[in-house]
Amino acid sequence: MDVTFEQLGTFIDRLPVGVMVVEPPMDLKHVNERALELLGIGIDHLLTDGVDGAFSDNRFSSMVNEIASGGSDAAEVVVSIGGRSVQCSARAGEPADNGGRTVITVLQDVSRIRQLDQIEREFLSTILQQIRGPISGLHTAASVLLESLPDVSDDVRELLSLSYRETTHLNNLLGDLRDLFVADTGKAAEELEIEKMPVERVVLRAVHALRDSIESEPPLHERIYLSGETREVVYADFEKLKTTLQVIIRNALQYSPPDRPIEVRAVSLDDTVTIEIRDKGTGIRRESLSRIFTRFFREDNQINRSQRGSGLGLYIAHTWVELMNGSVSCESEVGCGTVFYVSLPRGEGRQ
Amino acid sequence: MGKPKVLIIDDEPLLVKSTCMALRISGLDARGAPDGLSGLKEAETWKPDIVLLDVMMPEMDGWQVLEQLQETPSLRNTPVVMFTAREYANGKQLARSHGAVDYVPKPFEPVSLIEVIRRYVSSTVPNPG
Repeated sequence: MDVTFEQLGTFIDRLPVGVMVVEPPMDLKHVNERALELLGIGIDHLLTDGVDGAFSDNRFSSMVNEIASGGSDAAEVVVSIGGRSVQCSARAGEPADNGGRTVITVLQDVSRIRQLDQIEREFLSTILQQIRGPISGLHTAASVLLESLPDVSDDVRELLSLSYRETTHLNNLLGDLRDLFVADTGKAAEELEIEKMPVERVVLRAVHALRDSIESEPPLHERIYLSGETREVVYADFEKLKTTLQVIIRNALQYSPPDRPIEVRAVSLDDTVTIEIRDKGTGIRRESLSRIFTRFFREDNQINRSQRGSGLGLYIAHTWVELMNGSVSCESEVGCGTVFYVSLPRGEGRQ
Repeated sequence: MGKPKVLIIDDEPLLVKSTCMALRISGLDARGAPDGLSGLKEAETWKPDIVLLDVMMPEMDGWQVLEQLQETPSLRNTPVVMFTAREYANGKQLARSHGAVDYVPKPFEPVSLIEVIRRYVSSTVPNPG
């Protein structure tokens, strides 16, 4: 179908999203009805005051300039105009006559989505608040009963063990949801308490904590061995680094046969210490590898179908380690195994 | 020296009962109180070595109880650890700015609670591991 330029213009004008085409330096080439409506100004106003005048801050023009100059090909900002949240998604277009590139921006009202986000957060917060106390109580009750009732029938013991296991799972899930909530509200950084610690201490504590929740034969300390420069000192939040290592080591254990050891190795290079967690397990498929740090992602495989998990552990761990000025990455090959790298700023001195 | 005394003030009866029992199994002396007022009375007469205090309670909330504890000369130096179900991102700083020594978010594992208690009361508290 052939479309004339005029027809295309009419089509763009009728789009339910705002469209604005700008050429460097911020010359307006095209703007549709919806864009004017979202910006809350008339076309005359836009032409006399310039595109900049439509925005309360310079984030929009910085974004456009960045793309026009070739600094990036696409970017997005959400600005507040007349009580509305307007999302501006910009892409690079054709080279402009006077140098630089044309920038095409799509404007969308995302106020409703923002409101829903807010409602979702409040809902989650209320749910977490209401169910956490009772579940915490049930969990502790099951563990106390298991420990303090030595002479019960096998049926009763099994019932208590199952209750304990189920509440442990719920407890972990609630813990993960809480951490997700804190991460999503952008407040995770406020929670961090950065201190200096030897790698060895935090690794051993992580393994120790796993002993309570994982039944393993041979015992965990025979399956996991430490190597390298574990006496090196890093800057981190102890509890959060411990949990991060627990998540990664737990995965390594789940995906490895019991006779294949898991190596936790520390390597120091310049200002960084990297903790490598290496298993010789089933490995992660290439198409899943790029998604393992995204929230709620769980690879569909036989092991995951039989094990329960929230799909949040690695996402939260990744968020925390980045906030500690570190990084987490992963390499894997199906059938050979997986290596996770947790890099953290190195502290002076050794243990 | 006797067993370290732990007072738990929380309006969740199952949590109080089970946590008290878990602490007793671990060699601590533990008692519970279902609200702020009875918790304060218990603290004055029993003189615990540490108080575990819930933030969200009807009538008197945890911060008010904490303030009262600090105004009582015989309890001023008793360490207080706050429990809370709220999503305080900066819970620890918040607890400390009110004068509590620490903060434990719910849900918690009894083992990690004992770890926290060990930090603030004498070394006679048994090691959880």
